[in-house]
Amino acid sequence: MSLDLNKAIRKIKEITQGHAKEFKDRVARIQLSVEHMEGSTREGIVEKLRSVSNRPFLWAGATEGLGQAYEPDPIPQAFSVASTDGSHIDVDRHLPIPCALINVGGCIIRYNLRTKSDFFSEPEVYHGEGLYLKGDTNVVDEVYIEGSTLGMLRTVNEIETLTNIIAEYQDDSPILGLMDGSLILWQVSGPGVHHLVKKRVIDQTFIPAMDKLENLSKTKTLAIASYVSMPRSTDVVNTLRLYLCQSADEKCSGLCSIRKSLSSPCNIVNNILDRDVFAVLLKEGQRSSVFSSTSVIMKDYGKHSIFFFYVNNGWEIGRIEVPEWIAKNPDLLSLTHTLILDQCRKGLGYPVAVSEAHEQAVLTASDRRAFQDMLLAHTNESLSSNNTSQKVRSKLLPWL
Amino acid sequence: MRNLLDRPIAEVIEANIETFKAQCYELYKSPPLGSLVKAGDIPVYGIVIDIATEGLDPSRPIAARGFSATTEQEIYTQNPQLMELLCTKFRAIAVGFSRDNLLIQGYPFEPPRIHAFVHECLSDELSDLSSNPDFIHLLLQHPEVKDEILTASIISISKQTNNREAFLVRAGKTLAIELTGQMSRLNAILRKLKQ
Repeated sequence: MSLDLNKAIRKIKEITQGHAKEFKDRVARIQLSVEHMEGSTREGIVEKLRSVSNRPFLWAGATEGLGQAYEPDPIPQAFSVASTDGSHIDVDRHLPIPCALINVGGCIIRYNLRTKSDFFSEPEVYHGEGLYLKGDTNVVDEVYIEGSTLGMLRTVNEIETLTNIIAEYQDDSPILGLMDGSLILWQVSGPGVHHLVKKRVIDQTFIPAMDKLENLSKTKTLAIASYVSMPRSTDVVNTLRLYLCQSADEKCSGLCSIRKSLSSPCNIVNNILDRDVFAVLLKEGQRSSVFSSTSVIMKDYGKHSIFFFYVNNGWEIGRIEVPEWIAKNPDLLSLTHTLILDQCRKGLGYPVAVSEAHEQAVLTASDRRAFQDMLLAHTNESLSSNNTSQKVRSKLLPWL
Repeated sequence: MRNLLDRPIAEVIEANIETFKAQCYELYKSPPLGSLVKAGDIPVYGIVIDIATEGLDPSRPIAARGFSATTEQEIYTQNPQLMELLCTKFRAIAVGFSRDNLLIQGYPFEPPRIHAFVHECLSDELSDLSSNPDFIHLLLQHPEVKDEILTASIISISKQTNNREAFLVRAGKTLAIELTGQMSRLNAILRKLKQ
């Protein structure tokens, strides 16, 4: 065993003691923040958001007071929830043939319907030229699919698969398509990300998928959302920070960072997360107001920019993200709130469909080993040679 | 129209000479304890000695879900995925095999193949078994077969044979020979059979 637990435990004790000291102060500031949120008015928020232009932090767009809470609707008699998730095996340079695998799993769970629920998983193997994202015309414009790029391609496959299963849904009852994590794919706009990745993820997948789903929603009762468990976002507390801020844009930039403010009164939200304030504001089952994301990636989302709200599901505060056409349709918004809450209650705090999709997609250590073994066995068979690296061999046989 | 007995009820997922395990196609639709089933195209006959319902994925623990439900059915209605993610399995002890369309009692020379279809038995196959209670010897010899399972098996077969009385008399005589010197055990089994 290479981890020295005696050394690690000393650090853990220091960390937890530090946390306990901050706890009381945080609780008081959370309570104060909630009072400010409850006292915020629609006019005050809208006016403040209109008057600011540049701050060193990301805030949520809002069209009403920050302290609103809404009850769910009654659960529909019959409905379905579909979800997809993915898992991947990255390119391993120690193997004889460079290849990667993406496994997309999913489910469609039908409630009070005659048709049975479905569970599926579909592996796709990438190799050779398939391991490159290519530009349309320029032959040298290409990017190798591995690491985080493979992760983004996995997201693409998850979205496409979910869109396809919803398109094939024949029942008249409502359906909710639910994804794991955020719909705000900010990673593709990060530094060092090749433009072809962004093109493939946003322009060629996300936008067409959302177009297709929005069209489908004209003929069937369809909601689309993603669920973020234990969200670490601070968009709404930053809106409160902005609301409380008495400085001009230029002064704020000198006093505040993305994480904290040095000046009063906006420093009351320092190190407070959205979920902290909504844990106080929302009773079990309630959702918050709907907010809009002001992430820089939204400029690429066109008419499908992302809105979000928080729900107290009884176990945790979850963040629900929806495209604009759901956010601006009161019936679909309410359906999304109601069905996600029901999913969380059935799943003891986490949506059942998302959890089952994960179970279909997940690649265990033995799956990964089996994939590697099969690849090696077939390579040896066809090439009559063992092309694995000595590093892999040494890990497989850690001899003394 | 095909006879219902033509349809397989389960599929073999583990097998050796003495026992085989099968996964039912429908949740909670296992043949009852002690009943006779057959597995494979050249059938191996077995008597059901254990039935279990569990998660398809053994790594996933099953959690209670009925906190707010008023009936057991409501739990399944509220969680329809359970019907697809749970499965019922049963184990059977091999008591015979088929040769020239006859049921020969004893262990088969080969276990049923994995994925072999499992059917419930037809009445003439039950007659073959009940006409000669040698299978009782096999069951008594098997360490996993408790007397309750043996009794359940004899009762199950007796209910499906044409001449129940005659079968029970033959079974009783076989038991008396097999359990010589174990009077209290024999009496306990016979008392059960009389119920």
